[in-house]
Amino acid sequence: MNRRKAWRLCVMQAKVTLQYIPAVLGKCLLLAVVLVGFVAGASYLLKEQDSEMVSIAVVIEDTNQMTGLAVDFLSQEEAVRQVAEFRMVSMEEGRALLEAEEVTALVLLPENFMDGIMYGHNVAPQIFVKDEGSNTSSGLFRSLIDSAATDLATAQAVIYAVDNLCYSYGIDAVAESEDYFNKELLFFALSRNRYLGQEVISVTGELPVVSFYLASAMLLLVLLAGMSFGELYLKKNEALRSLLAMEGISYDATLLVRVVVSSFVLSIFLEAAYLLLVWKELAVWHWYSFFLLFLVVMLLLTVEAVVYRICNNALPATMIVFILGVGCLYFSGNLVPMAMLSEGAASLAPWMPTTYLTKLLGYLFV
Amino acid sequence: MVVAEHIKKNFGVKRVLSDVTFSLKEGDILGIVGANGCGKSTLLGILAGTLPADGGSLSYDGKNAFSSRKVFSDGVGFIPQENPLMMELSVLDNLRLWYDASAKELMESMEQGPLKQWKLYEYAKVRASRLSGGTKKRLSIACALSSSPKVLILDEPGAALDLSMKEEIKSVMKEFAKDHKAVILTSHEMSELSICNRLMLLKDGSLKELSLPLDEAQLLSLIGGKE
Repeated sequence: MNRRKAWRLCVMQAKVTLQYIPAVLGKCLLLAVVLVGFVAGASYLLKEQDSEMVSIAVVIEDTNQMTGLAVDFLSQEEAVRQVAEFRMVSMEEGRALLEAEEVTALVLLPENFMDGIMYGHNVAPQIFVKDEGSNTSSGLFRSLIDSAATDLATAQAVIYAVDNLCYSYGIDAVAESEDYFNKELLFFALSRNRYLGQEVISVTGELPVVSFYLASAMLLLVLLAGMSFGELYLKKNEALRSLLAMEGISYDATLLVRVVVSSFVLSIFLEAAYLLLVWKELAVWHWYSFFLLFLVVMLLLTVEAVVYRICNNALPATMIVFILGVGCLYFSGNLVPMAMLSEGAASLAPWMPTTYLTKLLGYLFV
Repeated sequence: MVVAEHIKKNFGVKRVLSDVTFSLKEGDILGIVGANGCGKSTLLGILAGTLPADGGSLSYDGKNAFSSRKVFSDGVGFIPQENPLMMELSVLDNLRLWYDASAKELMESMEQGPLKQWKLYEYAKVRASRLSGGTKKRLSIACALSSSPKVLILDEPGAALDLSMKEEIKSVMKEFAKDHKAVILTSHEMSELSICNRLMLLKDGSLKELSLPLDEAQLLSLIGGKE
């Protein structure tokens, strides 16, 4: 093999690849809208939003510390805090506020309220509304109460189930940590932030919801951006290939150079976009973040390059890459939550390469 | 200078070349004619080393070409029908791929040196894809001559070129052969074949020497199979 010629060919391949960058960037910017959409959605879920507030007076007669915590959790719940503010008052103050129409409702949490939730002797909270059903605020309040009741009922159901389990199997050791356990259950039931931040949904079992969907968006972006490089991977000039073969240089090996260079360039732009878009909220700068991105991008582009090289025709190759890519993303739960897939479809997730690529990218959004 | 004996080539069960034998001496310009699909490009590919033969022998200046690729890369300049260029690259970069020289040296050569004859200087920074057919062919020939070969092989060099470019290529081939070298070309055009001092017909997988001069009607009847 003529090594100098092979090296010059590699340099030229890199040069050719770089010529594709403006076109690819244009397409990437377009596709970045997808990522922005995902990030905006994630930010919406994580950020507070100002809106017209409903003021609610709360009187706590229950001496159990958990009651105060529960109200605190409820008031901090994202959906609740956007529309309601809770004012801890005495019964007299509450009545006066309600009379003066400074609060929409007065909620009285009586003695043994929390014990009732935990041990099944439900003690209903008392709710006082001045003009019941007469305005939108009280309607909204009722919706909030319904929502809170549903959340509490869910937590309650789990608490009872755990208690029954412990009782049935004589698991006494758990009883010691029951308070903590119940508190955590309430905490998870009442806080969506906590759920989004910690609930693990990926099939690999390590990614929280937000990380998973941000990683999915990035994966989709890479997949689609890779199609823009498709032309670069086609076998274009048989004559040149055969002449280089005569020199002992495999033209196919130059495909590797093209894949590496295109992956490197795409990774630089993705890294920049990643840092710009999610810097404050979710991005964690690690020295390995670029390497991680580069690895995932190169794996994806290698597969795409092989498809383009085999087809040697941009249209069918693009269709195959698109169908394969979207199919894999679908079955690995990146497009539709795994819970919504049929059992058979969901069982395919561990076999999808995108599952593991998502897992890798997920480390960027821990 | 070039000795080919009993060259064979099959594509699957189809025998394209059954027994190709010929020899060339310095200064020869050999034209190979034949019907479409008779195996002309295949034969040129074998002679240029881009296709393996299934049998026979080939030597350049007494060196067995089938045993060493270097014989081909040092001794043969091949210009296939399709220009072997990287279309995304500039003229200069395409030349840099083949010539063992710096960009500056090549620019100088295109302006005043040996490469000046190809009239590429003004296109040095232009992408190959934006060149005219004639300029692409000139660039292809310039690239093919980078190793100072002793044999130049051209597959239908005048295809899709205008008359002046065809004349230019003919004069290049004549000049090349004069310098104690040899040219092998295929063509369907009598005007292009007029520079050849030898003409062979490829038919039924073997070569048959034709006697010159030959007019177009005779050539047509030979290619078409009529006696």
